[in-house]
Amino acid sequence: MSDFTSVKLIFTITLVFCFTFSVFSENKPVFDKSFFPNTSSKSSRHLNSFISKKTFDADVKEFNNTAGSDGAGTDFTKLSGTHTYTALRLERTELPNVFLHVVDEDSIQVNQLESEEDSTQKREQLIANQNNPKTDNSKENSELQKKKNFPRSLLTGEKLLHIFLSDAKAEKLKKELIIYGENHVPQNFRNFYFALIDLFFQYPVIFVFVIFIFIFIINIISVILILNYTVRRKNHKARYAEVYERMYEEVLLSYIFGEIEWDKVLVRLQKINKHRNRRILTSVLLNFHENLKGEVEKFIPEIFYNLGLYKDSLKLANSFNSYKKAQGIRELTYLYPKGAKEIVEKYVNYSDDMVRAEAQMAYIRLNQKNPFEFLSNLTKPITRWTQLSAFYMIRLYQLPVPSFSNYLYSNHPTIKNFSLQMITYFQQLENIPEILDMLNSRVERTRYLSYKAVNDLRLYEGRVSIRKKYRKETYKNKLEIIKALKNIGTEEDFQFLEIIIKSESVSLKLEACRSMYFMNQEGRERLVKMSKEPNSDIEQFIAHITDNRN
Amino acid sequence: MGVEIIRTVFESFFLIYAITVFGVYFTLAIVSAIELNKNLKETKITNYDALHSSPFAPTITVLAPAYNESVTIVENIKALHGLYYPSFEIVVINDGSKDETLEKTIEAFELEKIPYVIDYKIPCNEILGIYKSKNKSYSNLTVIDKVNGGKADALNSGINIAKGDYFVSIDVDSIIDPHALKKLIKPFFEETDRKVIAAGGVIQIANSCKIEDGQLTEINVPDKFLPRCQVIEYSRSFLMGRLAWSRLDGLLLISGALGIFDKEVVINCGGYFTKTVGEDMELVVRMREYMTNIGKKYKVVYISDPLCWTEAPSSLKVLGSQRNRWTRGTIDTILLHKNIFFNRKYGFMGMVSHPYWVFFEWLAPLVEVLGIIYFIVIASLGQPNWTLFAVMLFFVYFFAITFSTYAILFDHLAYNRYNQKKMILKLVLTSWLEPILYHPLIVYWGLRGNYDYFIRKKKAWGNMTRTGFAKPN
Repeated sequence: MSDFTSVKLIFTITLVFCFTFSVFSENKPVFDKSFFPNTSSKSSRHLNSFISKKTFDADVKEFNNTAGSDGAGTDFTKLSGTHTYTALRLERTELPNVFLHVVDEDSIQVNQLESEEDSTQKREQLIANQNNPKTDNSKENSELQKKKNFPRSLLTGEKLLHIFLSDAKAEKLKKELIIYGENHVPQNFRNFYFALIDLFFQYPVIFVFVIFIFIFIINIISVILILNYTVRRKNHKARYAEVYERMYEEVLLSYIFGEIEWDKVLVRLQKINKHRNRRILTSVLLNFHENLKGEVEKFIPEIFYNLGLYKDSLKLANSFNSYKKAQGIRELTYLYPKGAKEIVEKYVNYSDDMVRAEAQMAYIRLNQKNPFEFLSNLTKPITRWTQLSAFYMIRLYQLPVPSFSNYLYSNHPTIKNFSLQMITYFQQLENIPEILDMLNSRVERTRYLSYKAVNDLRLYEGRVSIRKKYRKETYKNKLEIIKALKNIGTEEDFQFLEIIIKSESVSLKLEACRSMYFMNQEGRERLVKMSKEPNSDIEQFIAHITDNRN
Repeated sequence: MGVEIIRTVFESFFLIYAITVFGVYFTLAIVSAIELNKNLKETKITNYDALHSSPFAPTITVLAPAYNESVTIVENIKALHGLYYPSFEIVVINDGSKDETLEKTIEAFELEKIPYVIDYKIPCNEILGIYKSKNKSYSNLTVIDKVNGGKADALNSGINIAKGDYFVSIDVDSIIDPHALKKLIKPFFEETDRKVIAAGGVIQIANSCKIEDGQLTEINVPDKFLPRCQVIEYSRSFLMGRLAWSRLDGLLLISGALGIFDKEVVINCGGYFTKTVGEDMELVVRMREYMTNIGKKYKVVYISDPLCWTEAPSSLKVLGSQRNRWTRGTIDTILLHKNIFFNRKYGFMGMVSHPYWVFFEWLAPLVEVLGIIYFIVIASLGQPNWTLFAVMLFFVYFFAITFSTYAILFDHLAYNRYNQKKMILKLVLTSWLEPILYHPLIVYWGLRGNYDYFIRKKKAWGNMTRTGFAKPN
């Protein structure tokens, strides 16, 4: 797929080039004729180009060295040739009427004229211009200055419109492009660049369009063939994987449950020398790892190792491709932990998110004594997705849970948040002072999780602190504070909650009502009393909160 | 001389416009291919089990506005109950239906009106009642009965009672992939430096597919020509467009058929705008604008998985009405947020995405028609170069087919949903006819949309009659 996409990209760029040149090279309506002079008519040919003086001098020197000439005496007015970017090439070919004109100290103009007479007249005129101090050098200089900034200035609308409406702009553009190429295009690409310019200024646009139509047709045919091939291949691949998966599962399960010996396994596992089949085998073993528990579990890494599948996974883990690397790390972690341990640590701070997350999971799985040690050395934040996965690993593999208070003072808010969640979930009540410290965090989510911890762990010590924090809190955190008071609040908080009921938004009022109502009998009585006040909505609120479906 | 200048200006304009369109499409296709490749590889390696069994999975509210959906509503709600996600609620909003939508729902799910205090954080039409089920099996279902106010208003009322931190807006008659919620929420959990404010998934056409209990059981290429054209159109749009915009951080549209949003951000920027028919796009643009204005880094993402299947219009009348509405919605959004246009403050959205929508989504049909009129004038004056005309025509035609063929290839490589040669062949042949038969209609409806917006000042949705999905044998 990517190969074809690249091809399309290249052609698009070429197309844009082609269009751009065609627009710039003609002042006449774009669609009614070809843009470039007909190359087959010799009388209309007028090569007119520029090369840099520096390049020219270097070329001459090189030419003189190779030809053994003294160089100084070379009569460049008699040079001939068709190419426009180097005088040496002009000299090596045999076309008449080509002469060079030194425009200024930076550039040389290459001209080919229609006839000998014309050539002589033009040459004389140009030589006269060169010797004439009245030549508008300042204008030339300013134009040359503009040429250096050409691509940027070309993009401005003003210049664009000017180019459309002016007669001699096409030739001018060509000169500018050549000068630009001399000054900016790397030496290696210069030949190609000049050839491209020649090509675009020589052929009629209609021809280019026809070429593109053919390219599109070829493209369409190719894609249809690819589609035809991939439909067949994908279906075949799916069937192939299904057949071999089933076969490998049967053989390996027979071995695992002691029905056959290893020698027979090797005989019955067909085509395992094929890379595709080894990948199928690895996926079968990963499935076994997920689904087979208990005594038989130990056979899985053994099979993986004995069949040499770990070599493929190691290759994947060391691949440059992030996806392959992550896949390799996963396979090694579950099926060849010994090999994984060696490489996992270096990837826990890896730049690619996918690889980093996989390595962090692998670290947790492989370092059973202290699965979260890597948190101390993390240089990048730990995503919430990784946090979820880490928690999943703890539960799935019954990993020992460390005291997360160590990580509450990490520089990364994401690690603090994860630690707070873990402390709350695993009810690590020994960390109360640290949790209360987190109430002062600058990060909104960290404070939110702290309020939640105070609520879920019933930290009565935090009651006064969270109430004090209420006024300056965000809406979401205010809700959490009120919710916490439902569980840790006392009669002292009734007044605070009543103020909320009288002044805040409906959701906060509702939550305050809920907290008061479920705190104790006194709270309920106070609410009933409040409901008797004029214009009170309390009755509706009570009806809402007492319906357990809300 | 004057005529020459006019001709030069016109033709140069058309040419530059065409080059830019081709260039932009190609660029988007390339970027999409890269993004698609990346997304598919990531999906292969992602383990969603961690989310599925986690107590830390955030609650998601699924908002399903319904208007006169009595025929399918019960089946659709049952299908929503089949979503795999640890913590979600379904809020169905009966937007003043004139048929038996509410009654049928009440009966099927044993609903009763409950006392409920509504916090109108976002203004919406009056809510007449909140219904919950007596049956615990449907404890996560809430039905709102409200005064009719349109889709945007219905969604706003749903947001007002949503319990989740995130909400998913869907069309109630769409078929949602059972795994959609966990796939949609994932990007919100992966970003550390930028807040993900919204995400969308790829929408697919379900015409002629077989549906059982609200789930897709067999995928087919639509039998009718119009829906088949839309299959190609959707593939082009999602797989060769929106994925790229997402990657380039310029995505302005999340389809109303399926999108997930950060509820807090939506409430802070005022919810759905009810006075537009393009509320889905308008909301995304406003959310982005809001985040830029408060100086927070954010992201709107697209997920390459096909998460939602919808019934495409199969009659000209309904399709025309839909496209007319889309055009009016686009114009509305563009004009409502004209301050973004080439405004550096809004970054890529201001400098690229918004202008793109102006020039190549809104103005494209107008430019196309202008070009045709111009050509007719030139032809009537006997001035065109017929050879060049023919060549250009073929050029554009083959370009369009190439693009569509690539869209089919992308779709096939990514999902392999049309896994028979016959199906692919049908689509390829459709792509050959589409530029000739289907595209002119789209242009016409685009024009009608402009006419209705500016001249008739039309703001209504128009009818969206559905014929229903194919039943299993």
